[in-house]
Amino acid sequence: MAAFEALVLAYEWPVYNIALRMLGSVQDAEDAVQEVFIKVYGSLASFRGDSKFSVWLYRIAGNVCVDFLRKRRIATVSLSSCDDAGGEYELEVCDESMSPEKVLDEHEQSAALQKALNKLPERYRSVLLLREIAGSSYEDIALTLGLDIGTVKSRIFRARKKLCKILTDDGNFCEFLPSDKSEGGEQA
Amino acid sequence: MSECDKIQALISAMLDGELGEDERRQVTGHIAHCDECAQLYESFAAVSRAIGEETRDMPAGLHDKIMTAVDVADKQRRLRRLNHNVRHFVGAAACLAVAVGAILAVRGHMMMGSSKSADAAPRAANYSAESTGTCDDAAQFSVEGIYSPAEVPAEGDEKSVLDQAAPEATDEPDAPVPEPDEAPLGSENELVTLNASDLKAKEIGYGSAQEERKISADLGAAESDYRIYLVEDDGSAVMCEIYLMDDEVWVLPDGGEPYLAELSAGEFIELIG
Repeated sequence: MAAFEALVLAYEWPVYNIALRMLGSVQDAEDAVQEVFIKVYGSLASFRGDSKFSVWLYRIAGNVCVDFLRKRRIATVSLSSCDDAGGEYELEVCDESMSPEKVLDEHEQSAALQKALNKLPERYRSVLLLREIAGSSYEDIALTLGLDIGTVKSRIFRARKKLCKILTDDGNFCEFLPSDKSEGGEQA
Repeated sequence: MSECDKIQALISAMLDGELGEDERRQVTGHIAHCDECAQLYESFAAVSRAIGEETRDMPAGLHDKIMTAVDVADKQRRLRRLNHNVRHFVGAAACLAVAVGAILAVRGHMMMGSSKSADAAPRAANYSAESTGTCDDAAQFSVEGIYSPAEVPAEGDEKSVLDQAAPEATDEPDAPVPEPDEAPLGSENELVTLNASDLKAKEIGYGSAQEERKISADLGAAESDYRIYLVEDDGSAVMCEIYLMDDEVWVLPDGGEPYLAELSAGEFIELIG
């Protein structure tokens, strides 16, 4: 267990931060990072060393995050109500307690960034976070996500372009620019 | 595709250090005189910087939570595997006992038929019973360390091994009767009684209530190593299943939530004598 703890110490920070930005919730990120390492420990025997350990680990982390997002999508609250004819029907609404903005808004800039990341499609968010937080190379991201390098390159480009646009549309982009550039107004 | 479109597609890769020297020179040359592409470069660099700067330190205690969660999950996994293996092993031993018994019975029948001796039948029956006893020993060996000897049933009855902690009284004269000193601690007639203060819960904070329920379900589904009475300070007693895992003692009170005891498995065994 001591050797495994050394691996946890090496990777817990990027895995936590990727989960935090993928899921937008501190609680979900804490749960996800625990689940990632439970899965990693349970599957260590199946790691054959064909790929880098980090590639294998981030693939597990990505799958766990996708599972969390999927569970969240189906986390709805059913409300019984009556229609005009007196018949009962079910109304499904999103469970607001799962909303990322509710949890991760302690810092304005961080909240703006998270809000924008939440609007990015998952396929763009995952490649961008692997690049920006884990510092993975395009080749490693391609191996992690089962894509070719060209797709990784174009997804990262599109992710950045969309993120700039979302931040600009939300009126938050100036916060992220150096002060001498932000006076210029609209960006990207 | 315009020159700017081509350059913009390369800007992102340049920020990530994924361009060769020629392409990098091409991009820097272009943005030196193109405001639109220079602005895009600044914007991409800004979001990249922001994501990097807005990372968080690990919350206090999360590392310990991870290690505890991994440890608990590993124990659950081993417990399930152990339980699975025991069921297969005991099942195989039971089948073997039945098969051997059947073969011997048939052989005995054939011997009786050929010799036409009056005492051949009881002799064959005795031989068969002895053989079954041998298979019981095999079954007993297969569960060594998990069940006390008297918990292993006669006649290779799998159900009684798996579904009950104490042996049922039997009227069969040939069934092996446990010696008094072999009586299991889990024997319902003679449960060891411990004080609640002997089995204090260790504070490990191993996760959410949901996780505790999962552990409870897993422990409840597995055969325990011991069954004891735990006497509270107010004199009330509760039956508890005891699971020894590595050097840890997990206590599952009847109708309660499981907990990890402060004392080690060695100390527990010493305590119950």
